[in-house]
Amino acid sequence: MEDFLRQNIVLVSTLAKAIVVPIAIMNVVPFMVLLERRGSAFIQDRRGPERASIFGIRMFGLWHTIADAMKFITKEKVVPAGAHPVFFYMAPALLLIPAIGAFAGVPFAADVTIAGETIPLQVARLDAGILYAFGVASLGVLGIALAGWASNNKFSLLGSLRSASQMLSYEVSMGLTIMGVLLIYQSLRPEVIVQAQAGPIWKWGIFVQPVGAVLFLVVGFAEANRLPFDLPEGDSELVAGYHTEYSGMKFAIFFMSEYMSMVTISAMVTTLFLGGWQIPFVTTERLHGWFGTDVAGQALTALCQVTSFAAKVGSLLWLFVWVRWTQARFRFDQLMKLGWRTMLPLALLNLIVTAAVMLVIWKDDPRFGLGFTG
Amino acid sequence: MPKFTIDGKTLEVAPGTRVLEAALKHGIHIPHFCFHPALSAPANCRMCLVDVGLPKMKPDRTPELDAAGKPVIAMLPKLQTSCSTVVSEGMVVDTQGPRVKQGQHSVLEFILINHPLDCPICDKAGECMLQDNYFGWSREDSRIEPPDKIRKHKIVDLGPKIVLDTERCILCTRCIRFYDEVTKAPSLGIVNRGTFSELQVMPGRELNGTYDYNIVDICPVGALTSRDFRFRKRVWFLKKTAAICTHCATGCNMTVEEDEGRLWRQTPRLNPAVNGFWMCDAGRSAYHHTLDARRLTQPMRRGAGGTLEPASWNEALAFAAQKLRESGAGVAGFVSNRSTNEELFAFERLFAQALRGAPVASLETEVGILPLPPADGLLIRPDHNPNSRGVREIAASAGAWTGAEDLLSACAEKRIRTLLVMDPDLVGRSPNPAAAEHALASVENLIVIASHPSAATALAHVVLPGAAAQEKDGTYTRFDGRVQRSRAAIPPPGHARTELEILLGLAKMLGADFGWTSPRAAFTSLAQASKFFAGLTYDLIGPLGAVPAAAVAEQPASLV
Amino acid sequence: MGLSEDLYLPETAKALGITLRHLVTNLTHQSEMPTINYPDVKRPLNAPERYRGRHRLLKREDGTPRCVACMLCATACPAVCIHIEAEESPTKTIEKRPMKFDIDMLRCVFCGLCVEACPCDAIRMDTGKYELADTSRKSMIFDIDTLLNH
Repeated sequence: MEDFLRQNIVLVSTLAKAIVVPIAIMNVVPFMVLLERRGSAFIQDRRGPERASIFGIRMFGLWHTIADAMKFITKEKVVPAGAHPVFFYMAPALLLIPAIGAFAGVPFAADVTIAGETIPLQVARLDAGILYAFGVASLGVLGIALAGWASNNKFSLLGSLRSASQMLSYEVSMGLTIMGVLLIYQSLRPEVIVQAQAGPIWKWGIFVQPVGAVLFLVVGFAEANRLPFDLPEGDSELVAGYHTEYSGMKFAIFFMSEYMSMVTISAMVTTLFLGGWQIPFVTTERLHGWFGTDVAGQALTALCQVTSFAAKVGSLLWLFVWVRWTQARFRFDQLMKLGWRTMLPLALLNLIVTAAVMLVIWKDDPRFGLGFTG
Repeated sequence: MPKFTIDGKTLEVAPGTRVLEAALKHGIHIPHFCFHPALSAPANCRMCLVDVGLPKMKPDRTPELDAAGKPVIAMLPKLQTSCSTVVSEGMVVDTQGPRVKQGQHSVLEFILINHPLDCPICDKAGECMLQDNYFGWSREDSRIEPPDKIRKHKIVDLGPKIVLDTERCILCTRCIRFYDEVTKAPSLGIVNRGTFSELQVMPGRELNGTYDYNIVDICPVGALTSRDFRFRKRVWFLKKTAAICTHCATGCNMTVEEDEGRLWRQTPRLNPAVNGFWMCDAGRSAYHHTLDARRLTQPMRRGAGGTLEPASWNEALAFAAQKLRESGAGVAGFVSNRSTNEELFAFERLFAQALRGAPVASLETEVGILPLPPADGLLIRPDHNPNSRGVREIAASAGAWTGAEDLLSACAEKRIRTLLVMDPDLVGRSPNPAAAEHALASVENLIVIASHPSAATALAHVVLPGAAAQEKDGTYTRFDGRVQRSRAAIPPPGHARTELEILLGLAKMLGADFGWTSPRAAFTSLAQASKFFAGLTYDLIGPLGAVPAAAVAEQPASLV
Repeated sequence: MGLSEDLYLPETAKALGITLRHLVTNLTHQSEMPTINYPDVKRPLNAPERYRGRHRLLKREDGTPRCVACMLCATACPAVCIHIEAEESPTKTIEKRPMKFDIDMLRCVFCGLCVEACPCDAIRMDTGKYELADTSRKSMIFDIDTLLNH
């Protein structure tokens, strides 16, 4: 058995990552719900739901999420008359899969070397990991569009159409923003980008690309359909938007997907702009120097880095919640105006300035491997 | 034709017309209690006081003219009761002046001196003339405190139907005059004097006649209340529907009053050509028959064990249609003189179009479904069915129908395999019940459309629950040919349907299309098919009915 | 609008500051939060002279209901929640009394119009009771005995 593990360390570790990471992301959801409920409550001078108790233990309201889950699972399955029999069931899955899948390319610690094999702490090491992540993430709109269409409900359809136009509009800005980052780091590999942000904190993307970072964060809110960009749901005008007709577990999947795409987008922001798993001023080599390079030392190093990564992602998740309970929803024309007349020109400008700076000032810098001489 | 002026309007009326009648007819409301259009006017309530002036006459009996050449009017020194003042040439009447208002106001205060303040428990509240006149002409507090009011007898039994409250009585004598003048059987009188006057039934008698409930209607206050309606419902909850009484050939016009889907009372509806203001007690109480708890509410089919078992409409209708189709020449039908013209027409069409002109018969009986007092020359007629004339006219337009006796004997001889019966009680209403029962028992498939259980439904193989009269739209043809429309006040109970719906359902199963589905369209079609009904439509029939051209000569004189 | 409002982000930051202040204040001073922990802590019903709670029917001195079944409350009721059936009273001076008097508390909107309408002061909403939850629809239809013996 031990031999088998030793010989197939790559296979085993890949399998382990493929199972552990999605489960970990899914388990963020209940805590996010708790954070959202109690956070919003305290922001609004309320106490929030905290009364559910098991044997007198209240766990600050965590049981409410569990009660919710049980309710969702046991609820009657309602399918509206005239709904598409296949697509109506497919839609939630089409939203959930991209939300989890986009996370695959994100590294959450430095590589570890066990038994001579280098194991990346990243579910999939891809040549164009960034492109993969954004490509998959933008597939989520299909699920929403399909949900709205398959529900046979005007409000659902309006919600999904809003979602489709919103996603398309903001993806343009998103792509242009990433290009600035890619110009600087000269790679489509997330692990290379994270490695490039090692050491002092001013090497982080947020300091190299401040405008890009802000733009990307705003676009991220829009892509996750979070307030102030939650027009696809738009409760006050569209009942509940694309998921009006969904209840029970099918609704729960939409609900979870929203939180998972928040996790994924936070992870991307972290990777691109906040140094990924890097601890400021403490490189992997220095950690190895402290803990040693044996298995235990590497494990400790990885643990520190995962913690750092989780802390950054967690802070961004809190930002999502915090903004939701601060900002009001945009009107649809305001949303479109912001997307096409503010975000897009800014992203273009950012790209041009970045390119110019790269060309003029840093043209001889060997770190970027441009090799220009004249 | 005397001309006179009332409130500045000049009117020309028939000689002998009373001022109050003329005013009411022309939309001028003078408050009154004791005046009733169908009764004499004793002018004892004094409520209808008006100012009356007459042209001043010269010794030669010609009107004296003023400088402008107009007659000089001399107002009478005292106010006059408009209900008893007959209009004369040149008369001037004022109903609005301060003198009139003062007079009416004082009379109302006088009437209210001893009137109890029990409107909250008075059944008349909401349709009480005293309340209406108080709100219209007084609205003042009484100068007599409640404890100082003269107490009289409350809850006095005047018989099994009427309860009298002498405190509420305003001594208008409408009820006394009703018995004196309408039923010609004087029964009531006022005894004692002044403040202590009281209405009493004549010694040794009680009110147990045929028209007693009418005095409850005409009582302007809540002094006379009906045992049947007393304390049951406040009148403002009741929704009213114009309908026709179906318990004798008179076809009294009535208002069916309903709340929350239940019937609460029936009151006569003015139709001068039919029933005037009145209605008999039996017809009025007949809504209890509709409320009968034993009503048929569920289609039934005879099951394998030989008992009637509940079935769905689809099953019951499909079974009935199949038997009607299969039986070939062995099909026949019974209609009844209790059905509406539209139902009779639908039945006739069903047999003519879908069942190869199979024979249809009708019991030509005068027996109804409720016991009624004998004919009295007033309202109750010997025929206790609403539509005998309609059966005759529709049968005539369809070619002669078979005789009921012949058809029943054909059934007894098993020449009829499937019989469709739309009669409330074919056995009980038949002149020979035993023979009729035997005939129905001999039929292979007996299909009965009925609202109440009867000997026929007990023998039936399929029971299709129908509607009572208050539950369906349709027209009835009165004995004198007048066609009157009755409207549905409430839906049929449970799963029951109107007969028209049932017949249309059977027609659909048998592949026949009449080209109409509503009673209104059915009648239009009937008017095209029948010479008697030609030219009539629901719009022409209106609330008071219409007389077909063929029956104009038969019409009696107006009752009012 | 000034430049900072046009840019939106500075104003967003300001707004985030406000919400954060509330959050921190509430987290650090939880006991001072205005929320009343309702089923555990109940707000005292002080000064509710005209507070409209559960209905009650009043009795005469001999214990019979004051109600004479005039149905004016049912007439005034905008929620159509009062159902009365009347009968002849054995006491001749009273004449009419309720046989059934049901209030469907699920339909009641606590407007108090029945109290205003009553000519006999037979119905009042002065019990101060406002906790009216139950587990069946039927038990929420209060009959005459429930209303008399509040």
